[in-house]
Amino acid sequence: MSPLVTAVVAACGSVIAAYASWLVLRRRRVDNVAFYLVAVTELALLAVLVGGFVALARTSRDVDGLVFGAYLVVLAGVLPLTLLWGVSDTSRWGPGTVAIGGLVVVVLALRLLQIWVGLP
Amino acid sequence: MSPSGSSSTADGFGRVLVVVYAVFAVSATARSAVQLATDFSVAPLAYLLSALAGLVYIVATVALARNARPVAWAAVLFELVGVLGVGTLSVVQPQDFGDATVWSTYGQGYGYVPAVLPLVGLVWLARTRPLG
Repeated sequence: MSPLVTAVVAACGSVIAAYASWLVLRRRRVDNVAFYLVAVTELALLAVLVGGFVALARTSRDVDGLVFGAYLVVLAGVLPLTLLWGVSDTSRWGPGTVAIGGLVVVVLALRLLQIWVGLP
Repeated sequence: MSPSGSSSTADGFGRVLVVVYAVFAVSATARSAVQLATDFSVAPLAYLLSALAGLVYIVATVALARNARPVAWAAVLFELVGVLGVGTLSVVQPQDFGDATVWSTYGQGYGYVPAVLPLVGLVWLARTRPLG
């Protein structure tokens, strides 16, 4: 879980949160652009999920595996869930759930790096 | 926000609120579960309080999602009392806790969202209150 991976994931999450918030402000529903942003980010997160577990298995350092693994799984699961819920909402707040999903991705990515390097 | 009146607590802005509640339900519960399982003796009070907070967030999430108003009111009010009470105690008597909880110093470790969330929840419950 390198700082570069964290930066890329956090940037993707920020873009999703910003774009989805803009959709809320413009009273628009979740559109194709939001969908593709989420899809591309989700592919990256699945790669992070696999890569994270491989790195966890290989590292000789004392990383809290249970917490690290849980963060990896939640990180990979949050966007599909919020997207499903956002698409199914017919009010202006549908993209709002996607925006929250993007923010959660940013926070989880930063926490994941902290756990990887051993910060409490 | 959606118009006031007899709308469900789970629709419109409520859906965003439920997502935020779900995030805190998962994070607080998971965090306290790990802490209770691995080093309970370090700070039993703090970890039990975190577990209680997680439980309240779960109840609030489910109640808001299912439009169960009385339960949602109770859970959100309990949460407000909890974050104010524990927040104040953790400032006045920090030595009593041993470790941080979700509600310590009014949720500082979580960007003060735990302090704002119950207020937003109460406003939302009031705005979606059924007429009559």
